[in-house]
Amino acid sequence: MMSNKYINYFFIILLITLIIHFGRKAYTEFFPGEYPMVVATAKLEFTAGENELNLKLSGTTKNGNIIIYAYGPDGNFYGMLKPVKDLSIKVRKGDNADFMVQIYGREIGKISFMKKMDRYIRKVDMYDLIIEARKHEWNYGVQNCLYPVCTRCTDGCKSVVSIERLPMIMSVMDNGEIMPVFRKGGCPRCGKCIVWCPSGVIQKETQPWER
Amino acid sequence: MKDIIKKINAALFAFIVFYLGFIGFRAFSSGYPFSLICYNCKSCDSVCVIGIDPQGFMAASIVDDPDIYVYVTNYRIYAGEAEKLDPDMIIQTHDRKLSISKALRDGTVTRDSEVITYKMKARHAANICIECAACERVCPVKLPILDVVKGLKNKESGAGK
Amino acid sequence: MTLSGLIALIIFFAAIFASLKGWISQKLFPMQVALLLASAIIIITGLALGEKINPSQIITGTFLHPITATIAGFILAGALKSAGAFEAASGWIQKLQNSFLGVPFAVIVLINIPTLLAMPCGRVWVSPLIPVALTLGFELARKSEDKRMPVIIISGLVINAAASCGPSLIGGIGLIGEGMGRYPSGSFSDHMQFAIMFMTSFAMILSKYLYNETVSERMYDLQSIGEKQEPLEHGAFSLVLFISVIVGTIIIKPAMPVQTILIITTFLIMIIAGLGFDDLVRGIILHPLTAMISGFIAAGTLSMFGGFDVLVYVLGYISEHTPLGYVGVSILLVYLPVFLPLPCGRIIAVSLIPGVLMFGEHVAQMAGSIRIQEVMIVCFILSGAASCGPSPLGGIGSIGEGRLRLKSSTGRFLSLSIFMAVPIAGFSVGVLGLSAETLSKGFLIEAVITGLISGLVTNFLTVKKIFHPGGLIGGLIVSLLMLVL
Repeated sequence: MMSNKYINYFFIILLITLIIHFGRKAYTEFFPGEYPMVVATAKLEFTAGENELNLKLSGTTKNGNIIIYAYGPDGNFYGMLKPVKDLSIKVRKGDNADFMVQIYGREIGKISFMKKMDRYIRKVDMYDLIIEARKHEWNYGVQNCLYPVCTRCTDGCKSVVSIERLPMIMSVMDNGEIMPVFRKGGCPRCGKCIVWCPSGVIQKETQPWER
Repeated sequence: MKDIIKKINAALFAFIVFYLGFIGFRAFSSGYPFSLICYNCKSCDSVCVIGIDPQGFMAASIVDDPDIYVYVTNYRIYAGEAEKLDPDMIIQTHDRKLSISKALRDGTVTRDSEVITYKMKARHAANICIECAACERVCPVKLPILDVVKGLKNKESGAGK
Repeated sequence: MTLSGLIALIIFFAAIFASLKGWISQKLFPMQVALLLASAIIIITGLALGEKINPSQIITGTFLHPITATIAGFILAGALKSAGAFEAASGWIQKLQNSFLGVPFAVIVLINIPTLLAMPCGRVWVSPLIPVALTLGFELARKSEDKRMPVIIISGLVINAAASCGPSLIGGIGLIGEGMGRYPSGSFSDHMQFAIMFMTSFAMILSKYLYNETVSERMYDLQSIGEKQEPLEHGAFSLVLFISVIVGTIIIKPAMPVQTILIITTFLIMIIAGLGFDDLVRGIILHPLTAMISGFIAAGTLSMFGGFDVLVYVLGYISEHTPLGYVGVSILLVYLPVFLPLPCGRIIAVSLIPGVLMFGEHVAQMAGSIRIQEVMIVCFILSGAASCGPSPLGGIGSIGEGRLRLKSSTGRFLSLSIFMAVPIAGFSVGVLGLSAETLSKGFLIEAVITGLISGLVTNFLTVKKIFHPGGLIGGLIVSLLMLVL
């Protein structure tokens, strides 16, 4: 039989735990029970200046950022996250890629980040790369989806559905961009991908927002 | 030891103990007491592409202050926008780290220049965070970092939770 | 570079230097008070210069993790002491000594436990292990008639524990360097662990040949009285529980703070042995805790005014305008935490990691090898982690000196052992590189060499027979376990 002092200790700990539990601010999210729809990336108009590329978009992004990408001579996908101002983006000489993704056909391989705190591990000048890509007709462009910076849609899917048949998967498109692809069969309409998508690429099928 | 010296020493030691208790109290009052558990291991820092140090969000909730400066070492922003957000935001340019207001004053950058951030206030960093949850995945104690980020978003300066 | 940052840096270093040299008498103003007063002066100066103060920014400089881990470790040590676990451990050590593996095996395993099962702060292990190490040391002193044996054993344990927070995978300083530098998680750990085994051997050799003070006769009498006490009923069970929990934590790495695990273990021991809160208090040592907190407050104040940025600027200026160059200043930077040993290595180490990465990049560009940056960051973190050992301002070394009632400091030769061992970590990184995959041929060879050399040294120091199987087998077991865990 435990002595009284241990019972007292137990109640003190229980009290502190309850204070933490009820005092804690937990964020509650509400998910619409709808099918998602993947929206294509905004169209791009491209102008090359001296040491500068101007890219004009046909529509904005939800969080004001976009991925600019270009494929390298090694067939890998190099990208950087850029702010969008007045529907336009500038890529200047000296803008280095943030990440590299190995691509095998439509399959996505290893992802590596190119920066170490405030220093680059490996510098790949995106301006030079885009010029090379244009010259050699490799894929380049912009991508609303923030993959590989963000993987929330597939994470949301994995948290609800068995991994063998995910309704939302990432795939490489014909123009080289990496976008989510939605397969309706098996989708439980949990709505997580819609709420969690920061870029507006995945929207409600019934009520898409205006770009 | 003289009496007065003893009293000074005792008072300052008591201050140290009080300081520790104060930190705990602030963490509880912020609504995120779990932030006290943070290992400060920077595992979260290594996975953020924008270069945000998510441990800074934990620090902001420990002190219950959204205006502390956290590392954000790879976010591109236009200089004019940065200055409007926070004139004391630290940016990196030409291998130097200086405040955006100083950079604009010196002519190092213009309002239309794109700069890379270095440090910004926690509430601004929370607003640019895209909530990819990579930091939560690698946290060794599975802290709900995004709860803190969502709480910090669009927070007014100096307001408690 | 700002004027307030420069003044803050000068005041900070002046306070530390004056305390270290004894110009600020520790009897009048202990280190903690000196640091707090320095922080107050920095804040007043900053306000006078028109700087904006945000007290929250100072608080963010305080790392709660090592403080709470140390408190939890002390509380657990108090429970173990009251339950009689240390007496049980002494009994086990005695049995081990009488086996064919003998004294060297017991010594090498005991002194390497803090790094083998690395905790976020070395004090978590020092508290429970010092009594056991003392028993072993005095026993060896009686057998070998070498009155320095307790100092030798305790020095090895202390430096091993001090440096153990570097490779700890539970919130150690190494993880901070890996995170900020974007290196693979856990890639620093093995390089540092093997270097620490060498550091331990160096500390033991140096204490034998360079440290002149021996333990007083009175200590032997006190120790004998302690050893004659009857082992308590629940001592062995408490000890087994403690070891199992720690080993399990290291292997499984549960998503639960280590402090919670230590406290739960404490409560279990309390229930088993019928202890009260008073029994826990006997394990708590306030001095290192208050020293760490005051150090963090000072570092937070300095960081708020940009003092560390000024330091990096000054080092950069010296690199470009003196014959030292980037290579010379990089070496100074790597050993800076040892030149200014504070009660917790994190105080300076974490603030300077961005500077080290920057210097590392410059030197790497000059040398044409990116690995230089990796070498620098690992060496810096190891020297930062180990620097709390020789710190006369509440460092782990002073715990050992206090328990042995030594009059002279052990700091010099502990610092020397750090100087000698840090390049070994650098060499290891340079040859093997950084990788999270450590079960490779290169690491295996390194583990075997490290284990054998440590074993040879331990054999020589304890039984004067270099090829005694106890030390060699013990060294190999410890080094191979470090590779695996």
